[in-house]
Amino acid sequence: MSDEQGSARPRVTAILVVHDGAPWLPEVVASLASQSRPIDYTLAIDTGSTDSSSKLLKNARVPLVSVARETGFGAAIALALDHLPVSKKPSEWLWLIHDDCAPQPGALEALLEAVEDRPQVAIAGPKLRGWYDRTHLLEAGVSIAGNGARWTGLEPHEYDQGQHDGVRDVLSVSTAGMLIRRDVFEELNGFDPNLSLFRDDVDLGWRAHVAGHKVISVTAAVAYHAEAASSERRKVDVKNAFLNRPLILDRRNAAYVLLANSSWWHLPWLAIQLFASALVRSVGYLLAKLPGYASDEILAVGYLLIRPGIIIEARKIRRRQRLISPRVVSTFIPPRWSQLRLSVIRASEVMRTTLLPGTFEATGSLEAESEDEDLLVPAASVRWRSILRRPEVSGALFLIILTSLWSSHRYGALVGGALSNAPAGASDLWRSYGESWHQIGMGSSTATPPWVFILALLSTLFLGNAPFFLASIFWMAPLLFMFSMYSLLRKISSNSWLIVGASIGYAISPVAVAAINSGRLGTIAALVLIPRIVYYIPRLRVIERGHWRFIFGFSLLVGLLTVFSLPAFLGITCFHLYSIARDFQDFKISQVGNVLRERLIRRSFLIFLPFLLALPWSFEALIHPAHFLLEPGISIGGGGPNLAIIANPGGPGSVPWWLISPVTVLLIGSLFSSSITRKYAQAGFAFLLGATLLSVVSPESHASSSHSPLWVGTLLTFPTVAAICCAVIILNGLRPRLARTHFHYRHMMAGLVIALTAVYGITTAVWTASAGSDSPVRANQGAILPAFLAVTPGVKTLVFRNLQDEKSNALSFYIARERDSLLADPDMAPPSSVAIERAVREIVDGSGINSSKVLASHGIKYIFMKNPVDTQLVRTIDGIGGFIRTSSTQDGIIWRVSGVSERLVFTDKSGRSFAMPTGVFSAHSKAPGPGTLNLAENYSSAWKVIQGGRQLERSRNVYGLPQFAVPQAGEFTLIHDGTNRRAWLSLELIVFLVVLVMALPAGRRRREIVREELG
Amino acid sequence: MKIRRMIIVAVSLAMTLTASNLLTARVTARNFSQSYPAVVCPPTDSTIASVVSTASTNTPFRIILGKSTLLAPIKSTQYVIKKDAILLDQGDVTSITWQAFSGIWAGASMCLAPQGDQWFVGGSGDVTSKGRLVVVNSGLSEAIVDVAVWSEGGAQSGKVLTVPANSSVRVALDSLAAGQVRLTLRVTSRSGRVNAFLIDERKKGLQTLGGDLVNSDEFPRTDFVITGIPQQSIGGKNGGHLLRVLAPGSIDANIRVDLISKDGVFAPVGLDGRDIVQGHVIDIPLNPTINASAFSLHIRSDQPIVAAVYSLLKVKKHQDFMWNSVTSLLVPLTLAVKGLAPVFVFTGDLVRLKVSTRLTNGSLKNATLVGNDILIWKVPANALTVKFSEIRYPISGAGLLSTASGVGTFPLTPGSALARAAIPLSNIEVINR
Repeated sequence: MSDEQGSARPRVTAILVVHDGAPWLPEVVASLASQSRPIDYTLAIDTGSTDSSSKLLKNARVPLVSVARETGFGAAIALALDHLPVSKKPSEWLWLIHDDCAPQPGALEALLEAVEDRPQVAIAGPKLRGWYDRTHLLEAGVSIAGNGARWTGLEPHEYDQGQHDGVRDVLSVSTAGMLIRRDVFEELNGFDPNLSLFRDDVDLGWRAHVAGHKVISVTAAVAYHAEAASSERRKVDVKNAFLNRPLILDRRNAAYVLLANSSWWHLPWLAIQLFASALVRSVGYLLAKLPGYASDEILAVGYLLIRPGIIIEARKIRRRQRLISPRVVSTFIPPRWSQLRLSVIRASEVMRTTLLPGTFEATGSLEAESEDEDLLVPAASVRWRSILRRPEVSGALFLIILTSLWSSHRYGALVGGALSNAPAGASDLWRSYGESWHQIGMGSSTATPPWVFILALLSTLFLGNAPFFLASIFWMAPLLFMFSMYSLLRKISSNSWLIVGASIGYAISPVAVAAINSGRLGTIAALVLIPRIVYYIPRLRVIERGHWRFIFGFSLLVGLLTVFSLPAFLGITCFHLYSIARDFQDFKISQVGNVLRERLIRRSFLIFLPFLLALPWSFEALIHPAHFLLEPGISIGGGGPNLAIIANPGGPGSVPWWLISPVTVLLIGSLFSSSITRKYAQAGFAFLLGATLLSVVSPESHASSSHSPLWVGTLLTFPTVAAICCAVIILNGLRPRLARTHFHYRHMMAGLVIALTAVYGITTAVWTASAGSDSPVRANQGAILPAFLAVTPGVKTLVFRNLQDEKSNALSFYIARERDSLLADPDMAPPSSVAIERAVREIVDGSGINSSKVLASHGIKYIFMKNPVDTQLVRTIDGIGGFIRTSSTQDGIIWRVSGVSERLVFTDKSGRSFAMPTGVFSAHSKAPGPGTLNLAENYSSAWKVIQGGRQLERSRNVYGLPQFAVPQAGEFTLIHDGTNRRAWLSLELIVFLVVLVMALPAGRRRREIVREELG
Repeated sequence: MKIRRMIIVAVSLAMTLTASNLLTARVTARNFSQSYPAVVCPPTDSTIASVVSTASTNTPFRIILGKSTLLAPIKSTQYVIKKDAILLDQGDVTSITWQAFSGIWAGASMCLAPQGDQWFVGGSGDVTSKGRLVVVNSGLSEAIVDVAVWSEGGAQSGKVLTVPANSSVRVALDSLAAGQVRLTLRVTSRSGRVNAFLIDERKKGLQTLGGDLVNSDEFPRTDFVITGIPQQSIGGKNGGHLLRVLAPGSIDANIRVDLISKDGVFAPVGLDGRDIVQGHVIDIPLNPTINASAFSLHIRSDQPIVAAVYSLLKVKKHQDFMWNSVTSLLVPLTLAVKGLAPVFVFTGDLVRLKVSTRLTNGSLKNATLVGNDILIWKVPANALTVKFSEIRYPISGAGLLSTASGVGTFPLTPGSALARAAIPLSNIEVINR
């Protein structure tokens, strides 16, 4: 090599930074020595390694400088520069090498080739691959996302097959293998001393860009990187590493880089984004039971935000170095949609592998066919045809067609039967869930049932359109039933056609049909969830052997059902109590006390956790035990015991009695089996008898004083599931068994069951598609209350209406508050007021000379009698006095109630009453003098009136409504104190989060991940 | 083993079904509310003494005036109405209001529950008339009342009255049908808790001609009885009566009248098939020659009609008159009669009923009244209440009162009928489709 050639060739100095890198160092040193383009000078900086790193370097005769252990990466490089001779060449390059980064022999040559004809390039970096999995692509250039995430643009564990190859401009490259011009490095003052580790590369690249230089990624150069620090393979004990936790340092530095380098007008938005994403990630880490990481996220951002001086100083330095606008890097910042797209890809990949393991293997027909045929048949069409031939797909298609006909009256906003109107938006459901006071009847402080939370959450996912969500749920319900049962039966039998047929039978079982037709949300939830619960029940037998995560997961599942249906909780609790009794029996035989104690503890958790998950709703049911029997929604009666015994809950919308399902026959028949079938049959039969007995009970709910037979649909779901399981077990191996034996009673029984099932299936399918579609739940029905009664917010109207059912035509009444009944209103409705009941009774019998006064005192402004009206009652109301007829339309007749019928009335000492302005909940007004404030809402200790900073004395007026003694003239504020509700919600949230976190699989700390997985 | 299992299954099924069917709650059981609407007793003038008899001093009452709606014990069994009408809530006991213009005239009226439709046959709008229609609104909202008037000249232009809540309105009869002699009024409430009372008072210059409270009927009928018409000899001649009839429909009516008295049952001359021109109030003179002190009229018509009998009577030294209105079939009822000592007249083919009289000293006297055609029974002077029960046959009755100021009558009908209605249930389904 001549001197000329030597002087034209750029000088390359490799700086190897070492910190406890003994596991990787031999290969690293060897890789540096074997470079096809030799390194001109190599200097190693050891930052206080405690392992054999120094010895290794000395043995390799690499010049070594030792510095303090807490020295950061940037400071180590700066110290190395001090030990280097002053550069005599115009183009001297520094090659920064980590002790866990081994470049391929041609890496330096490729890097130099790339920069040779690109004079504007100041920094170049190799393609980084995994140390352990050398096909795993780690980085080919790096950037930073708006939320501080390190952005490589690669998918997780992306296989390197050259898909990203080439020389590309990037924001920065990793310091592992970074080649940087020495003059530029010195011009930029090296690495920021505030970034001792992590994100220093992105910061340097960003500063290089705004100083007018370029950064490239050269994929022809390859290096293998172990990422020992970020994967917690070695202790991070640099100067600024708070608590020596790498995640804190990484997040803090990410925020620092963004806040120090971005344009000033981006800063507020960035700060919000950083904090919000830290919060979201914290929640994620909490759910993965990694509270340390969760706190790291918050601490990192908090640490920086409380010390703004560091940022201000850093920005000053950058302003001095800057030649061009910081916006020059905007092309390298990943757009938000890219981040979203990557997140979606990752999520869908996780879902696909979880839900459809081996889908492609199962559908592919290539293995089954000969190679010649493979060449002739287009692969895609084969796959589609095979998908359609799958029983579950055929079954689903059948149900879709059936449901389309069955739902012919249910395309739109649904209402009717037990189902009330859905509010217009999910926000209304959220508000209803959070409210401490509900404008239902005379007002209620009853806790909103937790299923409203679930509906609100799901409606939000449906773009906030609650009616559309509800209609979709009712439309999809048969499919959900089918797939839920299918997942259970797959455990019992591998005969796909059999289990799909049985699942369809479940989807059109009497309970399922009645639940959909009469709008029973609780039973629909039970029909979806109970098969899944039954799926896990075998694991409960030897519960002490299971993991606690299963206890919490199972409780979460049962809790989800409990929030929709307390009867289901009751049924499952009965099962647990039965299991406890068996545990005691086992103990009598085995005398192993530890097992018994462990079982009792776990079963107690199984009982109490679902109860706690449904707080405070479930707690209120303890006070009113009848609520344990009631389903959500309006109390519509069932069909009584004679229908219940054939597993038909009866009531409006149920299948007629002559459509007899084979459930009871199957259960009774299976009771005589000698296999596992008998266990299913015993449980199912017990539930069937229990449901039959309970079907005669007529519990009274707050929303209705009428007595009707209890709806036992949820309880009948258990025998239905049990019967179908029995049928599948019996029929699974029946055909070959019957073929082997002579004709006897089994043949007849099998024939009878199959015939009964077939007749039921066909007739029910025809019935649901025709007469059954005319269900009580229908779409787009008009409102009960005339529109003009809804003009004034919160106005109360006493509505009379003849409710016609199969047996009677009963005059009923209710107080409407500017609207018809909404979802969950029946569950939160207050008990009927005695005074109002009496006033109504006196109106009807014509003796109510003071009825109008009583109604006015309760804030009732109007009486509305819905058409068809009772003409005798109309005459009575016309004649009774106190009610002035204001209109008579095709909707009905309306009377205005005489007297002061406002929500908030002030009565002065002389007895004169004035209406006070009030909002829906609170009020702020001025009392003209001393007197009494009467609030036309049910009494609650949360009603408070504050005047002059003092809470006024609250008492009950003659009707039991709240009244407040006003001592003097002056402004006052009426509020309903929602502290209790907020406390309950907090408790509910805490319980839910604890159970959820305990149920979820635990996340692994990075140091717990095996090296091979890291790549 | 399997047989044992089979037996267990069968027995458990049978027991469950039997028990559940036996225990099935009465799903459609509805409760009914029974009550007697509070009744209204008529207001009075300062010149007229007005007394209401009640069964108990604890009877809740209030004066129909202003905003007060609280009921208080009446504290007397002979309550004196000073001016405004009163509201009484005394259940199944019917009170009687006795009004007397001292030495001039007297009249009696029932205290009645609100009436949607009242027909008054009586009164005059001519120059002698001092009569008035009093409309009482005992409700808490404004009442709107239609007053339709018929006279000898046919239907008159009616009037719409607006009665404020808890108050009464008086309308002079001569303002309703000026110059018309024979009046029949129909009072219909469009809204409100309305009762109407008609006072027929007449005066010719300084000479008083008497007066009476005209009792009302609910609707026109085709077959009815007017009971307890007093027969008095004035100046050696039988007193004169007028049968006032109106066929309010659009078709003329043909009536047949039977007179029932202790002297027998017969059709007075000219009243066996008498045509009544529709829309015109007809007065038919009635001067029966009988010895009985009271008689009744049984009237049949081919068209619905309203009718009453005007009787001119001599009381002490002055003249008074009385209007006997239609008497419905007698139903069991209790009358508060403290201080009134009325005479009851019952009419029917066969009369048989039980009378229980509670005296002011608390003792109870029972009697069974039996008779044919017409039966007259006088209440003991110290009676507090009289209860009519065990009424075997269709009969009708009326009470007659006589004092120094004048005479009056009232039909025996309950002031407040038992209202029975299914109690509506509170049910949120009402506001759900």
